[in-house]
Amino acid sequence: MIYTKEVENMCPVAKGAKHEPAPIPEEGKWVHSKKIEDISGFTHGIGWCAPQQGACKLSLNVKNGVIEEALVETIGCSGMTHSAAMAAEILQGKTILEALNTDLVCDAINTAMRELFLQIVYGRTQSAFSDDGLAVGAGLEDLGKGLRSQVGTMYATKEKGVRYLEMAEGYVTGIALDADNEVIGYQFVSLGKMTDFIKKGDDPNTAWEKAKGQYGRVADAVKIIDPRAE
Amino acid sequence: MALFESYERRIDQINAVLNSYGISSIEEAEKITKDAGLDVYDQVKKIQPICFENACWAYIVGAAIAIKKGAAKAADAAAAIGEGLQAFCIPGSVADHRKVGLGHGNLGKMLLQEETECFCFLAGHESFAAAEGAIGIAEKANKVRQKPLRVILNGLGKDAAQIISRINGFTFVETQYDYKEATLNVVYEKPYSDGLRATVKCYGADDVQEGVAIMHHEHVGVSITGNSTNPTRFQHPVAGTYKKECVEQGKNYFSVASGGGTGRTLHPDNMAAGPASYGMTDTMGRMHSDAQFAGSSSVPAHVEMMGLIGMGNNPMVGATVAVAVSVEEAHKAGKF
Repeated sequence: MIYTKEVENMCPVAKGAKHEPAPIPEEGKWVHSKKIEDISGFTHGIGWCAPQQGACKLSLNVKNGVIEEALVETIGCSGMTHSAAMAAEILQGKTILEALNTDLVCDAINTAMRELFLQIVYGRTQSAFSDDGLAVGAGLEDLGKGLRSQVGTMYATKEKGVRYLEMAEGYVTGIALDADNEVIGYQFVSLGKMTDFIKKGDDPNTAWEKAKGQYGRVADAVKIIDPRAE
Repeated sequence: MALFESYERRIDQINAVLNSYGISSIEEAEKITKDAGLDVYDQVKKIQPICFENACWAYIVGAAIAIKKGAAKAADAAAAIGEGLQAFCIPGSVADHRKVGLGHGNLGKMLLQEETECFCFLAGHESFAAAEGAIGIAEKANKVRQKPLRVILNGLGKDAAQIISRINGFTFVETQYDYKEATLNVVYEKPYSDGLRATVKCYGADDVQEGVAIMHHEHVGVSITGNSTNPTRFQHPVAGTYKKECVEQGKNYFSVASGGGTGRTLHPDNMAAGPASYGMTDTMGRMHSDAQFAGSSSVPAHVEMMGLIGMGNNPMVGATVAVAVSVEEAHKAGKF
């Protein structure tokens, strides 16, 4: 380190402020984080791309600064699904600092990484109060049975009203309408469950029937419409 | 093998609490409950089959304390059960700091008391299914109540309130808040079914003032804040303001801070910067609540990680009510 002449000629003034940084809550402890290895936790980050046509939800389980588990979910653009495949391989094993300056092959995923970094270094995690943090594998809990992302797809026009297409529970096959033509419920097929049934040997029609479900006042419906066809 | 999870981190303070009631050990606590004709272990397991061993034992300790105290009423038994749950909190954990065990006991007590007229799910109207838990809990409490507990939903947004009522078959209450006069006017009520679900009234507020007015209008005695939508904009300000006004008016109001924001995560403010701004809903919950939950509404492991016991918060409310009711029944039968 080189000091300029001007600095060398100065007389010293003592630094009195010697406190540690405010501690952040991490995995049930309060940590004065100073180095990247001081950072642990499970959290999410959301990112978007420059034209704002796609979005990414990134979930990382970080232990001592290292990414032990990565869940990459994308929506809105076909190319980014392939970028997500690459990013998931790239991320694990890196420190979160390395991950910032590693191309994750998509604007939205890079942005999600930035946002996640901010969340985690400021101590805003899902595991802040959890003794010893979440087990590696906790990322799969976000997906639920059948390991599919929670996606909502709804469409509406002023002329023809609303259509539910995809709910957390599954692919919407029918929307139930009352006498005023207002939505009072919906029917769905859980694609994850249906596929699991088929994999276990059920024929597709049986699996379709077994994976069906409904929510709301479907029993009171005057009419049930196919949201994609009617 | 130890009797339950993290036995060595818990047993000292459990014994201390038991000894203060003249019970020498956890095994003696079990005998006290069995002698009163209760099978608490089995009762708790049936409510949430995936709960941890420590959950069953916490309720055994709670029931034994209730019996030792001679609790004749389910409401009093619930409060005693809370002491048992609190004894299981790992020292220094967030569950310990928030006194979640005592909070659960006191919530059970409030739900069982006849003076509590109305149970409000104070939420952001973010999910069709968000109120299911509150309805289930009220049904359990109604088994021993003379007057059934009314259940309402109070959330931000009139359109969402109407759609949720329509889909779930609740009764939608259209209100209009007069900002000049500070009064709430009910414009109309529309039941969207004719079954039990129509007894659940669903309100949509435009803002905090109207939300507070709805609480007064319904004489809410217990509320539980919902999940992560609008917590700093609606639920916590409404609960906090209503709490203050109830204190001024000498009314009893028990506020529970729950939901993802306060339970497991640190719901940030919208700035996402600066050390003092983390955990806004945690902080707001601490400001007004009588009980603050920690962990998940359903997943036992998440609640265990907070230092309480391995049982979801919602089934725990059900278990507190159920065990408290059997203590009352055992007393009626002259078992203690």
